[in-house]
Amino acid sequence: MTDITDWDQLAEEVRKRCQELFDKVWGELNRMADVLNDAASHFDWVGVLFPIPKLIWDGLTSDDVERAIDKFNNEIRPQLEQKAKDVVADITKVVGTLAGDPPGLKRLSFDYAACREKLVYPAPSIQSEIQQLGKSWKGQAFAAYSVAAGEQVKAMSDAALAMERAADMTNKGAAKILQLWVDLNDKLIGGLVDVAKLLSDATTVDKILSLEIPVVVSAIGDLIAFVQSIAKTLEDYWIGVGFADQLDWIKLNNGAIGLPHNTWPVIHPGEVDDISDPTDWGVVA
Amino acid sequence: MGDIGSFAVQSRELRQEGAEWQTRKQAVQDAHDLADNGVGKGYMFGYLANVAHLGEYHDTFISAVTDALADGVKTFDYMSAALTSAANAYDGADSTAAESAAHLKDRLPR
Repeated sequence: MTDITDWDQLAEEVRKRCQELFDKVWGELNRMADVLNDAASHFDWVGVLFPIPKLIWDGLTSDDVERAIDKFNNEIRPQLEQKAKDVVADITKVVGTLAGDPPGLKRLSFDYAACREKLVYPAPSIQSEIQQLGKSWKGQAFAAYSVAAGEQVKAMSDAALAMERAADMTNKGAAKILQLWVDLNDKLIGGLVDVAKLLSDATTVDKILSLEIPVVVSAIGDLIAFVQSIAKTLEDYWIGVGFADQLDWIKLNNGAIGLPHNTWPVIHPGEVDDISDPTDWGVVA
Repeated sequence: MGDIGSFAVQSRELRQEGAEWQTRKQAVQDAHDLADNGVGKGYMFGYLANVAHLGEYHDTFISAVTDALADGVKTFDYMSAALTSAANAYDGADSTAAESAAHLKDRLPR
């Protein structure tokens, strides 16, 4: 398994895989051409010495070699070259849709988690503070303060809840992107091995003649299928996150989780008047 | 605004409570600064996530919560100042003075 930590690294890995595909396809095609050239030149040389219509060498007739050359020139080479070019273009296009910044998202998730920690205030509860204050103070101001203080401290815990969800969702998103990037690269590596094996089997004229082009073309096509399936998985994940499964971002966005309407609670103007006026504070006798 | 009288023990309770709001204010300020790091960063979720508008949801939420936390900082500043001002009005010390109600209200978010 490869270790991919950012987009540039994934892009470089995919570029390497695509280059490997080109190298493998073009390399194997050149090797097949050499096999066929060797066989053809052998028949040319023997034909000069023995000018008879049907030569047989190594179990092959000159017709077999001609048919293999025709198949190579008219079917194998053009189809495999075209397929490799098409697949690399498709991979580049689809991989572009997998872009994102998981390391950046991870950092944000840590910030959001730290934000939540700040808001979970490690102090005596506001209720105990109010109770303590009530031993010395009473009156309209104290009553107004008691209500306002409770609401204000609750806002901290409401905001903390929202930031906890945001941290969690951001972290999960980053992890999902990273996991799919690694899966993508690993599947590309595995697919290239399959393609290489199919092509490297064609080592002789008769094997070139019997090479099943659709099977090789299909194996090359599987590479883009891998990439498309990864993109689909990520798209489904985001759609699931956004619309169907958790709805957390939507709830956070509209203030259904955390602070109501995502706004800090306003102290009622009447309470502000009372709290702000020292004469509304009454001393407990 | 002048002193109402000398209630040193009681006003100390108000001052302590005012100090608690200063501590809370700092906590909310720190929280604000951390949340602010995410403003406008929804693009980090990538192209496919943003097809599902997640980047927008993230950005709208983080902007709103950052603004809310900024309002929280101002509100907590008011709470602290109001308690301290009341304490000043009651403790009878010449060196301290209560803050006017209008001035206190100016500390609140608009």
